[in-house]
Amino acid sequence: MSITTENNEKMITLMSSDGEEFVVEEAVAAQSQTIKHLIEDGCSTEGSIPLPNVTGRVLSEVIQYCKKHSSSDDKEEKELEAWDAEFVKAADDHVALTDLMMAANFLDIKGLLDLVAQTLANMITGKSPEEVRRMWNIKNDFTPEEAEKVRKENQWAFE
Amino acid sequence: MSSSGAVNKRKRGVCGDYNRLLVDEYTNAEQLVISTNMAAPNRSSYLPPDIVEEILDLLPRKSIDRLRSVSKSLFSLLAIKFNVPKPLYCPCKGVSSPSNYGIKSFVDQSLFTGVGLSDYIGDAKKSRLHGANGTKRSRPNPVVIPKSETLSKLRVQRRTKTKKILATRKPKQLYQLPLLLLKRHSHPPKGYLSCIT
Repeated sequence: MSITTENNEKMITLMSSDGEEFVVEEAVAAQSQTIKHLIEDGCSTEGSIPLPNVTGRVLSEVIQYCKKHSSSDDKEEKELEAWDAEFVKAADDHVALTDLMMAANFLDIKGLLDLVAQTLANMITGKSPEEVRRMWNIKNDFTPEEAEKVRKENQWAFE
Repeated sequence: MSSSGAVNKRKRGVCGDYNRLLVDEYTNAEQLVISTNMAAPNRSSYLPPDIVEEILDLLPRKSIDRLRSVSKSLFSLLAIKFNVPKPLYCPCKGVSSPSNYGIKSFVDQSLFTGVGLSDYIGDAKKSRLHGANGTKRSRPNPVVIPKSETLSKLRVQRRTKTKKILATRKPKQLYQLPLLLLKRHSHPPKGYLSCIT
């Protein structure tokens, strides 16, 4: 469903997977290419736009990001970078960041996707395979012989 | 769909048979939901491969090589995504950047230096085991492509050599050729004598 405000701004209702509704300006929602295409196809006129892959908690964070980035212009680039750094810091762990990245991927928000990917890459950099396994809950399916061989082949990375 | 399940169903080669493992994974690229292993704890959903690739693209080389020993599926993904042909080593050429790895550098170099593949393989075996000073080497040196100055020098040298050969060859040597042939062959080619007479 779309509403027009007093300032002549079109409002869009987004519905998360857990049924939470968010009313946002069209310009903010259009930061997401997925939503933009849905609006262009006229999906917003039939009620709220359902986003089955995004929970309410994550969607609120995504909207927060989109609001900031739709209101800022190029002059405020440095300020925006600082804000981005604080934004990803607030998403306290890699699980939250993973959810955010999944949402950014689904909603096709390139800026957010790049930002979270960089943060996750920074988290992985310098970690040992054991730490990465623990961090992402990955099962080590190498046999001891295979593990030894892979480690030997990439010995330089462990020095 | 979990890739680990698909991997388990497939028959594995002997332990450490990496080529087989790679081919196996590569041919089953459709089922290659590698990143399914990269799941956040207590989650039923998994990170799709394109997301994992986004992250991997931002990692430094060292971290990528370290991630290879995390799990089989990650190993395969990294192998498909990042593997370059193994470097060919030449202990006297020093260290080069990883971009110089591979067959192309070898071909480029051997074209201009005339060094044979067997020379490289021999040196590679030696250098892999021992450095130039006899110490054990953990990471081998890749081939260095000669700088453009060196290349042009080589080209000039080659051109000069050809010119010299052409200059020293006497024209009459060319006319002596049939006689030489006559001397060498007790039975000259058919019709040869009739042609001369």
